[in-house]
Amino acid sequence: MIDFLILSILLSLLVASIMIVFSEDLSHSVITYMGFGLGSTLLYFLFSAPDVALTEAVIGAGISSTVYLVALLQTSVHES
Amino acid sequence: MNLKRTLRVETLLVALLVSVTTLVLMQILLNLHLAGHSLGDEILHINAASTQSANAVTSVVTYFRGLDTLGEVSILFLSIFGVALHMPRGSKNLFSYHNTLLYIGVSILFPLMLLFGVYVILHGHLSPGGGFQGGVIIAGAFLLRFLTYGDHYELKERVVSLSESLSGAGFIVLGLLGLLVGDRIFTQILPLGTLGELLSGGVIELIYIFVGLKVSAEISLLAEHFVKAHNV
Amino acid sequence: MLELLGFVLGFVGALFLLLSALGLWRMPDTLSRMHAATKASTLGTLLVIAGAICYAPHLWFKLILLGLFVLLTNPLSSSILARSSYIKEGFYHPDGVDALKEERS
Repeated sequence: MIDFLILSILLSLLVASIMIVFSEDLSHSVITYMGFGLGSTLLYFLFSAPDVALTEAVIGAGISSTVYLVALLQTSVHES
Repeated sequence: MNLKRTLRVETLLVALLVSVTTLVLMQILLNLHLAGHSLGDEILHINAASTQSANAVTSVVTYFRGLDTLGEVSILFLSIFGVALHMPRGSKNLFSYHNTLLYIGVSILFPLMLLFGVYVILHGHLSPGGGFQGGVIIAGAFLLRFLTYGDHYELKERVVSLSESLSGAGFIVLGLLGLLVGDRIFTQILPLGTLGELLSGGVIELIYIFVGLKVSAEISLLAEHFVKAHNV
Repeated sequence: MLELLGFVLGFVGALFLLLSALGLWRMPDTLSRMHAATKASTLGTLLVIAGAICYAPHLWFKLILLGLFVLLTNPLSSSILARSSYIKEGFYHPDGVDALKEERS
């Protein structure tokens, strides 16, 4: 059961990372990155590392996404 | 056109490589069975005798590997220093969004998040958490406040820099006291309590209070610099 | 008996969460998706928490605190999301009733 859960979380992380790399809009990438952080939080918790899970939950969902959003606001994207 | 086609082949190759690596890692992770006597058992054995901390991870981070923690904290300090030099703080908030519901919700949430951060810092040697985690939670509370209140809220820079530098100095002084009293840097200089109480752990709790103050001050300053950046 | 009740509550809550995910996938525009994702997921989470209280009654205080926290944050964030989505893009169907626009103008 736990193996199945871990396997499904790993597969969703794989899908999320491919979506982060290949999405057209960069803000979609940031949102998907937050989902990636959520999945890796669950994974850390299942591998019995709640310390790392706490850090990843705050950093991955809150602070790094703000940093990326500010970077997106301050730059412009050229599509060639 | 040609360039685009080669790019697509390359990205497909990268995706294939990533998926194959993930499959291999998954195979390794799901079939991992550590046999016999490992380093973790040894650390758990020493931890019960020398620190009386219920959470063995924090005693590894602060007690057995205190010098590594000092390095991490100084790396964080250097990165904040670089950000503050490169992006001077403007007065205009990039995310100004006025809404009464948001004000009320954040004014309820903000003290709760501060309380939870302080709890995580103080119970670092008993439950999962510690200085880094609690400090980041406190910084998240301040970030929420920056995002909500717009231009009307700013950190007092004197207080933040004073708490940051004082806690960093206290952290190093604790390490040097360990070198002075004991045999190595960051050794145990305080009496140990009983396992599982708030005042057990000895020097671990003090180190974590300093690390929590430092990390919370640094990351909330970083968040303010990012949120209130000048338009480049 | 209490364990059975907890099991049933948790199952119904998981069903509601599944329904909200399905609605998030099937609905046509942002506001309908918010409608599916907010109410059903809040109810599902609260039902799962109630089931956990029935299943392990000694954890009641922490679980009630968790429920209050979910009740505080989830509707708030969805309201902010829906409002900013409306301000940026408006409605998907142009001939619907637009009370917010009449209020603002």
